[in-house]
Amino acid sequence: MPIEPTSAHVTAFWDAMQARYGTRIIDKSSAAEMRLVGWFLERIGVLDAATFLERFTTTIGRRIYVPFTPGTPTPRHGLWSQMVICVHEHQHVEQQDRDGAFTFAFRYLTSRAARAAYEADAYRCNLELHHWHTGTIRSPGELAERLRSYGVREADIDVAETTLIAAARTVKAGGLITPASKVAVAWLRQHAPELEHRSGA
Amino acid sequence: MKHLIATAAFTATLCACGPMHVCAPTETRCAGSFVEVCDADGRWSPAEDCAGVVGADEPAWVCCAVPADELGPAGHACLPPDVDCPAEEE
Repeated sequence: MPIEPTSAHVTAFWDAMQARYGTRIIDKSSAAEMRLVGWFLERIGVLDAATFLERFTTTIGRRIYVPFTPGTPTPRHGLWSQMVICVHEHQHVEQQDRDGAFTFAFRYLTSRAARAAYEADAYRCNLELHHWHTGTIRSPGELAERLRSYGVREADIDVAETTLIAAARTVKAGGLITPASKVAVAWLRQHAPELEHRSGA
Repeated sequence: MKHLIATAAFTATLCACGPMHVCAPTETRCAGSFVEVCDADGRWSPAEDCAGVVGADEPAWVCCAVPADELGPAGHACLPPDVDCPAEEE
């Protein structure tokens, strides 16, 4: 069984990633702009506002709106899950740095194929962190299914699954693909090596 | 001049048809160090750069064709340089 992180692990990890990327976290439920986005998404029939505010973490620029307090576990967001979400969201920051914030936002909002590709890329972090922590591979199909909440086409989900299958094979062979996971794993190996599946702890 | 106008008209006609579908969605291939996946619109899109993969082995990882396994159907993936990477038939 993998060792569960402590609250101290989670807060130190979030602090380190924020310092590395220059990001800051904001409580999603109290952010007026997120309430507005939630209202808009409900109006256009993508998902209801409560679900958006309680279940989804959202990154805009270098602001990460989180529906939990890092280091405080909730039934929906356990401590390890909070660390994985941290890496996933910072991969979106990497995407913005790579493509430019405007291009990223425009493509994410206007192209379903691009939105699916950005999310599939970020879900690679979930595969990578899960493998580092447990030594097992998450189902690419189950991760791709999560894209149903993002208003993409069935064909986009199929393509995302293909992308995640390729990534899963690389991760299973011991590779790290995404820049955010490389940063995260380097920090974890130095500061929390006991969380790695092969630590023998 | 007529030739120029005819060329411009032909080009405009081609462009008006929109992007051409060049591959079947979810098809994969190796293109240099990249694994490419055919997107839902039928266009090749880079999915993974093997040159950027970090693993236990220092030499660059390579794009390989892989058979179907428990993770999914046959496709392509970045793998360590010491794996037996079969040559693909054209």
